[in-house]
Amino acid sequence: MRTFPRPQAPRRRLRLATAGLALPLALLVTACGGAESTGGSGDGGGEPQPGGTLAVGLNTSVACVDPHQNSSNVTIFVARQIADSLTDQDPETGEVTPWLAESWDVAPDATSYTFHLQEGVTFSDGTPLDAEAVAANFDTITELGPAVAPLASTYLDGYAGSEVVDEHTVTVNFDHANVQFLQGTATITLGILAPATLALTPEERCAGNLVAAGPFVIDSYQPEQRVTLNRRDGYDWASPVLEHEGEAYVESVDFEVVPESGVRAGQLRNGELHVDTIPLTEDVPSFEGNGFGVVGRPYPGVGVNLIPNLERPLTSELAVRRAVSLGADREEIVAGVFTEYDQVARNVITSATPFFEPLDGLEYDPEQAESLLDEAGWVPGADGIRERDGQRLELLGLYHAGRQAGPMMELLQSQLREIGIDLQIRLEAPADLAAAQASGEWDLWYSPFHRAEADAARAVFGFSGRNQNRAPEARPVDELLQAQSGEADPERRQELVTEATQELVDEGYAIPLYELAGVMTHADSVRGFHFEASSRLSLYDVWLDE
Amino acid sequence: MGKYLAARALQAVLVLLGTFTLAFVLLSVLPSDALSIKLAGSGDSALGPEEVAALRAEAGYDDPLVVQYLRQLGGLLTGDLGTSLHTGAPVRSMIGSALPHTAQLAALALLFGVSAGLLVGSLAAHARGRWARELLMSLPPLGISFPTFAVGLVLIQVVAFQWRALPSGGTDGFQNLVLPAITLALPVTATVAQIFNRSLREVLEQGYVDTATAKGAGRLRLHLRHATRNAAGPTLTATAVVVGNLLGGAVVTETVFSREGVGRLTADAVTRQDLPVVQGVVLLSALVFVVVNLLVDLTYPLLDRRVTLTEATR
Repeated sequence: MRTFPRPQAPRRRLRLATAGLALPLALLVTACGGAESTGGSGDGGGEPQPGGTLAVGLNTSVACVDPHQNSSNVTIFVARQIADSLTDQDPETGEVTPWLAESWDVAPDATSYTFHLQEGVTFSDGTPLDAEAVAANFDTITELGPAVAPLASTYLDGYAGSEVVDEHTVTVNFDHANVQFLQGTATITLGILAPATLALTPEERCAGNLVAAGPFVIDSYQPEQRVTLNRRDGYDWASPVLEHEGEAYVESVDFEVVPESGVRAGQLRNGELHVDTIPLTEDVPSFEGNGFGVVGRPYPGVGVNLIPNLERPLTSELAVRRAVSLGADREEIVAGVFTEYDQVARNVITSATPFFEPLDGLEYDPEQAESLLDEAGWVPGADGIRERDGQRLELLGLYHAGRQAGPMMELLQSQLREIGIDLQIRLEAPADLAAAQASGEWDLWYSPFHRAEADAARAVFGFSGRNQNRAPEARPVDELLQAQSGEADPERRQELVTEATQELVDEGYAIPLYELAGVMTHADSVRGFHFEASSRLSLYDVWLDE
Repeated sequence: MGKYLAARALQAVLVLLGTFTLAFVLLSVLPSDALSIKLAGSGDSALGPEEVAALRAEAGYDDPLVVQYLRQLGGLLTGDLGTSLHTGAPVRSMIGSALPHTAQLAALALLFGVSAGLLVGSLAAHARGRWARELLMSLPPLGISFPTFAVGLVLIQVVAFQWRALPSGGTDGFQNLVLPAITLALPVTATVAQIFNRSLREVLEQGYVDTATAKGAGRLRLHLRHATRNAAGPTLTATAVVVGNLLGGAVVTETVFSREGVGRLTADAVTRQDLPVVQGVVLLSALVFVVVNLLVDLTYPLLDRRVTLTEATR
C-alpha cells in the first residue's frame, strides 16, 4: 500500500482544504429564506376576488402534457385548464351539455354527429376555433393511432372522417354506431387544440408546445419540476355548467411536482401549496376543518370490481364467483380503509356515471355464500378453507398500487376466509401487470376504469372490448353490452345498461366492491373549488380569499 | 503516459460495452415491455389483445433479440441512445438536461461529505480520551445506518417546515441544494471518516512520525504536514467508490426533495419501464465509474511519488 512517508507537504493546498471545511458550515448558518406563510383565512365566502397565484401539488412529473396522447391524472389536471372541449358534462346528472358546441344533432343510428359551434371562439394564438379546426383534431388523433393516442382513439372508434358543413358546423362520421363518442367529446382527451399545434410532432406537443382555447395558457413547462399557467385575457366561452362567465379568477397557476406525499402535506400546512391533488387517505381527516377543506367525488366509470377469470377452473364456476361477491362486506371495507367520500358499490359502474342505477344482489350475505359453496360440493377442510376432491378453494387476486388498494385487499382476504375461501393477494408493479394480464395466470383482477360513460362497462367486460373476463366466446351479456353502445334513445339505453350490468352481477362476471373517489385537500383560502364530471380538477371558478 | 491513457481508454470502452450488453440482457428478460404497459397497464385503453400484439410487432418488440441488440448497439455507436417510449423525447437530451442538476447536487454533497469525513476522522485519530475517540468513531456507522429517505424527511420536517430556514424542495437555487446535499453527504461522511481515520492511525504509528516528533514537530504540524498526505491514498480510492454511489443516492434524495435530476429520471423510467431511458442511465453511471476511477489513478502519483502510471496498468 502507499503509506510510506513523503515529507514535502504542500502547505497552500492544505489551507484550501481547511477553507473547504469551514464553507459548508457557513452556508448552513447563513442560508435562509423559504416560503412565507399564506395561512388559511377563516370562512366567510363573499364576492370572488380575481388575482393571485394558485399553487397545486402533483405527485408525478407531467411527462407529457398533450391530452390526446396521455391520459394520466397529472396530464388531465394540467391540460383541462388550457383546452376546452366541444361539450361539457353536468357533474350532478352526467348529462352532456353545450360548450364549444352550442348544440348538436345525432343520427338515429349513432353513426354521425353534427356540431354547431359557438361563434367568436379563438385559440390563444389568435386563430379561430372553427369547423376546420375541429375536423383537424379528430383527423390527427386518428392518424396518430392507438399506439400514440390510446384513449382518444378508443373514443373515435370507427372514425370515418369529418365534413366541414360551414364555418361553424362540422359533421363527424363513423362507419358503425358509436354512442360513447358524445361523452368522449366532453373529456379533455378529445379537447380541441389549435391547428398549429396539431401540425407539430407528437414529441413537441408532449413537451408543452400546446395552444388551445381554454381559460389558461401555458407559461412555462418544466415536466419534472413545475408547469405554470397564466390566465388568458379575453376568455369568454366558459361552459354554462360552471359558476361564472368571462375570464378565470386566479391570475396564474403553479403546478408543483412534489413526489413525496409527506412533503406535499407539509407544504400545504405551511401555505406553500394551496391544493394537494393526491393526499394520503390517512392524512385526510387531520386536514378537514382545521383550516383546510376536502373535496371528494367518486370517479365515474367502472368502479373497483374484482373481475373473475373465466379461463381458470375455480373462477369459471358460478357458485364460486357469486360466493366471493356475497362474502365481501362492502360496508366494512369502505368504513375500514377509506374516506367518507368513497362509497359502497351499488352497480358495476359508479354512481357518478350516467345511466347508473342501483342493482340487486350486491348485499353482504355470508350465509347464502356458504350455502352456495356447500351445494357446489365445497366443504370446509381442517384449516377452515373449503375443499373439493382434494382441491383447496384458493384464489389468486392481483391488484396494483391504487389508493388504499393493499389494506382493502387484506381486509377482503380476511372476510373471504370467514366463508372458507383462501384469497391469495399479490401486488403487481405496473411493469408486471401487463405481463400478468397477457399470461392469464390469475383468478381475480382488480381494475377500475374511469370514464363518465356507461359504455365503460362494455369497454372492460365486453367481448368486443378488453374482455377482462377472458370469456372464450361471446355470452348473452355481451349482446346487451353491445346493444347499449349502439342505442341512441336514452330511455331504451337506460334499460339496456341496467339489464346488462345486472347480468354482469348475477352471473358473477363482475364483483363490484366500492367506488373510489377523487379526493383532494386544499387550504380554506381556496374558494370555488370543485370537480368536473370526470372527478378531476377544474380551476376556472377558483379564487383566492387571502 | 500516452500509452497508459490509450490502454485505459480501451479498458473503458470494454467496460461500457459490457455494461450495455448486461443491461440489454437484464431488460429483455423482464416480463413485459413499455408499449404493452402504455397500452394495457394504464387501465385506460380499451384495446384488445390482438391490437396490442400488432402494435408491438410494429414497434419491433417481436424481432429476435440479436436483431434488437444490434439495432441498439448501432444507435449507441452513432451517439443515439434512442427515444423515450413515454414522451418520444431523445434519451440523450433527457439525460443532458437532468445531469447538471445531479452534478451540482453530487458535487456539493461530496464537498460536505469529504470535509466532514476528514474532520471527524482526524479528530477521532487525535482525540486524547478513549471515550471521546469512541464516541467520534461511532458516528460513521450511525450515519450509514440511517436510510437516506428518513434523513431527508426529518431534515425537511425540521429545517424547512418548523424553522422555515430552507425550502423543502425544488431545483431552482442554491438554497434548494443545501438540504438534499446534506442528506446525500451523510453516507459519504461516514465512509470517508472511517477510512481516513484508520489510515491516519496506521500512519501515526510509523517510525518517521516519532522522528518528526523528536525533531520538535508540533501536533498540528505533524497531522497536516506528515500524516494527512500519506493517509490520503486509501481515502481517495474510497471516495471514488462513493462518487459512483452518489448517483444511486440521488434516486432517493431527488425524489424526497422534489428535485429534477438523473435520479428522478431513473425512478420515473423504471416505474414506467421506459427501457431506452433506463439503459441510458445505466450507461451514464458506468461512464461515471470509469471516469472517476481514471481520475483517481491519475491523482495517485501526485500524492505519492512512488506510484507511477505504468505500474497501475499492470
